[in-house]
Amino acid sequence: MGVSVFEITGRWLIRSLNQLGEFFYLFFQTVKQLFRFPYRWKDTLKQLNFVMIESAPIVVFCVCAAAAVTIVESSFHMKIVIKNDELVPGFAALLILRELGVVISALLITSRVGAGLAAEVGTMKITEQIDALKMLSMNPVRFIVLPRFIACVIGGVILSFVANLICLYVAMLISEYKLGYSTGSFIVAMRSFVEIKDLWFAAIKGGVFGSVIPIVSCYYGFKCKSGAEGVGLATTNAVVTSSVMIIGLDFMMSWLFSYYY
Amino acid sequence: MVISLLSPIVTDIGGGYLFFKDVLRSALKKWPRRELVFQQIWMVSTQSASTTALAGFFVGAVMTVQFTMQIKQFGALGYLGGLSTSATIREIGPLLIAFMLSGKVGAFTSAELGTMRVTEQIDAIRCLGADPIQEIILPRFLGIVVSSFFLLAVGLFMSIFGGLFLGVLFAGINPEEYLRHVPAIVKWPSLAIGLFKCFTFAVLLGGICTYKGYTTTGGAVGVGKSVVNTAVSTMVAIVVADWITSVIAESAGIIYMSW
Amino acid sequence: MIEFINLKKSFSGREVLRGISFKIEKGEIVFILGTSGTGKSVLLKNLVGLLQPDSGEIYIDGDRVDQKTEEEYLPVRKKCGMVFQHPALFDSLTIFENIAFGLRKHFDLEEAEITRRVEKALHLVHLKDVDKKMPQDISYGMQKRVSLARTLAIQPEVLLFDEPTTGLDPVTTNAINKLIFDLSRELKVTSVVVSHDMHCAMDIADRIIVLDKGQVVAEGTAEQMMQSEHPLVKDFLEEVERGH
Repeated sequence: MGVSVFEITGRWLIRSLNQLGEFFYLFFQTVKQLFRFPYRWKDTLKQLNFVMIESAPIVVFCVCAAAAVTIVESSFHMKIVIKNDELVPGFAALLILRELGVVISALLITSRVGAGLAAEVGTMKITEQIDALKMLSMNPVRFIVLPRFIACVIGGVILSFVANLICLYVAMLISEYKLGYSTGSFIVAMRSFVEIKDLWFAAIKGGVFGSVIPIVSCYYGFKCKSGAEGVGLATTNAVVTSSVMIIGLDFMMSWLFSYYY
Repeated sequence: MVISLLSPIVTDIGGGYLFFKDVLRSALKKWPRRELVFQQIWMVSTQSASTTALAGFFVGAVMTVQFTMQIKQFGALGYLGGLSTSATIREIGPLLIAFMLSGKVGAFTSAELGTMRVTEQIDAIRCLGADPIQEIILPRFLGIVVSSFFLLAVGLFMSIFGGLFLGVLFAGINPEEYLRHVPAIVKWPSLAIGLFKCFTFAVLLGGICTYKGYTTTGGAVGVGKSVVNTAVSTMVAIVVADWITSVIAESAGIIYMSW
Repeated sequence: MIEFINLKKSFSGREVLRGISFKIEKGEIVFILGTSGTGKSVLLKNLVGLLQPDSGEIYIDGDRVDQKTEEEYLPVRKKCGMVFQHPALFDSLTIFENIAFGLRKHFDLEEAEITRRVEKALHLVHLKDVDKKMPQDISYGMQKRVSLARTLAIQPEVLLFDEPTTGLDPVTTNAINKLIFDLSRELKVTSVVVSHDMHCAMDIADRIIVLDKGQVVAEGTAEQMMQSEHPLVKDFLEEVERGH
């Protein structure tokens, strides 16, 4: 029993590391392409529209709902710990800026854009479009991954920025309505907890998550096996792996950033 | 613009309602074979246990890291364990872990059902005189609800560990100190809310992915599409449900605060 | 035995069937031919209630079948076995369980009798020693045969084939066509084959019905087809001659 547990864990670890290596390989290949001009601007802008503009309503909606929950929950906690709710704005702003805003947007983009990308690239693979690209001596990484990579990184940064600001604004409105804070006192209370650099850190996180999504999704898309089953599997794998990597990276970056406060 | 945005939502809600009614009717008429349900529970649980546990651990860890930095200023490090655990269990934990599951379980199931649909396996079931809702949807739905609830609970448990681990490693307080304030802040109503959220999310997850998978059309491309749809609509539904349950819990909270 | 009267069906505004009427007699082998996307498969799915027509009537043995509920379709589906375009085998079940699935649903049989019938069905499609395997472990051609065996096991009076040979190599195509012919004669069942393979239609069909743009454009025996003036039928026949 003991042996088999080690065996399973070991296999799992080796497989994960292997996978991670392949992601890095694709990542570096993409970055290498980044220094070769000209870019395919039209495709990049089209992708940017898909990643940023079309995802914006759903991201903003979810983040706002999360902001409402955060206010409700923080007031609950504050009442227990310090018997009043004067720290709610700070507490809520902290949760939103450092975690919720960017992680929720990133997970939403993963399921919308990442899954979509894996399905798209997977379909290209099984309909032999990728082989056709190679026959025309075009680099699939440059042709497919690069525009999506640029779009996702830019989209990730801007979306996390926008999502955080809107989220804070909604949190402010809700605490005014529910807890009777004026705008000014909310901001003052908030500023004792968070600083403007929190917003920059959130944007950095957004950019990093944005770079994970297209790499992982395209990787699984390229590996897609034929048939409806293959596309489904590629999509599922892309979503799961990106989400786990996002949560893991979020933890690492939070730790790293904690040295700069 | 607004109409084009709203019409798929309205279609989904209506279609989902009718589908759910079919599933319930089928469940009331004849309970599915027990081994089919257990097979599903076993499959979903074993497949996703490691992902959920890992996600739960990181969520708990992140919360502790974030709280430590702030609480230090107030010199209230003693409260770290209680606050971090409470925030994780009541809100962030169920929400983020359910997001993970909607990617893992939801996407997998809708891909599986979508594949069965586009390769005409579902039509074949009907032609052979069986009810596909009874044969494949009901066991999956029940299996997913039970096992997601179980997985979410495991994830929450792991998040406490993650928080504790980082409390020791990052904040440098000893485990007893960390755990001492947990019971003071995390009373059983908090736990009940966390678990109630888990249950709600599990039902939403099971309902949406079976519905989206079952209604797939259009070959391999269609399967990809319904997987994307499943993941996105599950997440939106989860966020909305999270909000509603928190509001309900808050209004109920007035009652239990005095205990 | 089967009669379609003025059948119409459209998908999100696109008319696929625009008033189809014809009859199929007992024991016939009827081929329904047409180019891709002319609603041939839709026609079959209407017959067994996998799709519901917008208007028109369908009769099987004088019994109107187009307005039934899911439960009421059960006897219809027992009478008309359908073989799908894809093998549509259940990936989670063994070959044996795949074939036994319909038997368990339609009949109340003992396990020994089920085993006997599954073996008989596999024998009819010239397969043996595959019953313990999983669908993904056998070749595509074999999957097609198992799919046929699954339908044969419930002993239907009518066999419906939805493009049985699409995507198969010529050797397997011939084998499947021969199987359709032999089984129809041997088991005395009515066969309705949806296909775009004029060649085998000329070989084994008692009657051929040609659809174009959702309507019946030609109907008759192979000899009558040779005389037809319709451009689509001529195109199909040219293809056959070129093939020889």
